[in-house]
Amino acid sequence: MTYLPYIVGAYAVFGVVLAWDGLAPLLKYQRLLRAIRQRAVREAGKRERGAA
Amino acid sequence: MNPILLWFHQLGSPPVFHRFAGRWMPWAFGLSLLLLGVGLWGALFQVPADYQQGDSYRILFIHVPCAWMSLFVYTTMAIQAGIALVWRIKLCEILAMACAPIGAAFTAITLATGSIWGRPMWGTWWDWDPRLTSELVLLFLYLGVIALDASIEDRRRGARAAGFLALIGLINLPIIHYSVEWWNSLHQGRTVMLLGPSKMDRSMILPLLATVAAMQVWFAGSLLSRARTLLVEREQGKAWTADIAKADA
Repeated sequence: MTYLPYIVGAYAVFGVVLAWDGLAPLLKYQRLLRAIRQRAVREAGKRERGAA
Repeated sequence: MNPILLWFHQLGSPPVFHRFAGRWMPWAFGLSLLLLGVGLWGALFQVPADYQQGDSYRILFIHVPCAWMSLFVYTTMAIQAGIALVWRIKLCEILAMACAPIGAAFTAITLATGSIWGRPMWGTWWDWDPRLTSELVLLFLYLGVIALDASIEDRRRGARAAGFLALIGLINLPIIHYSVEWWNSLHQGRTVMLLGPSKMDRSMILPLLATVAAMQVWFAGSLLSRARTLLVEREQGKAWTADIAKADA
């Protein structure tokens, strides 16, 4: 009996879950920084309009 | 003040922790991938097939380290939650909550790879065996901690409530560990022991130790990464996060 499909399946699950664990927080971190930058731009725009 | 104690106190400051995490996280992931490469090369191509299980036992080189990590991460989460509940240290709340998805990932891998190994070896994908059932309860505990933390709008109250649940769930760890001794379990007993002789051949232990070390270092990297993200998320109104966002552009 060949066990190859079981081995490939198990290692695939391992790889996918580990990749998700590594990448998900990095992507969220980048999204957060982008949101903070966009908020800063909006607030600067508001201040400029208020001064004008 | 003792320099080590001083360093710990300084690390409690969000910008200092952010810098620390950003500096060490890539090293941790890099070292982990290197160790994982060595371990998996040995597990898949170097060690001989088992005389009873054939090649299917190669799954255990990922199943066993993840199973150990599922318990280790839970212990770390509970310790951090306990410190956060007693001393109200914000960073410990964040670290405890950052542990939960990592532990859930390790537990999910443990259950999935165990199930895949069990199909050809036991003839079934799943059995309500004490070890398997208590490990499934562990996954539900991790998911419960994540859900409870997310369900309360006040992030600090949410983390404290979830931390309390994490502490209650500690009762499950000895049940998982000793389930194979306390009950007549389908799951095999301990094969590798930290103290005392192991039932595994030396040639098989070395790749296993490499993957165990890889998962430990991966956990360190992932914890730093997730804690850094949670910290920025909670402090996004503060000036230091605005400076970081500007510097990153």
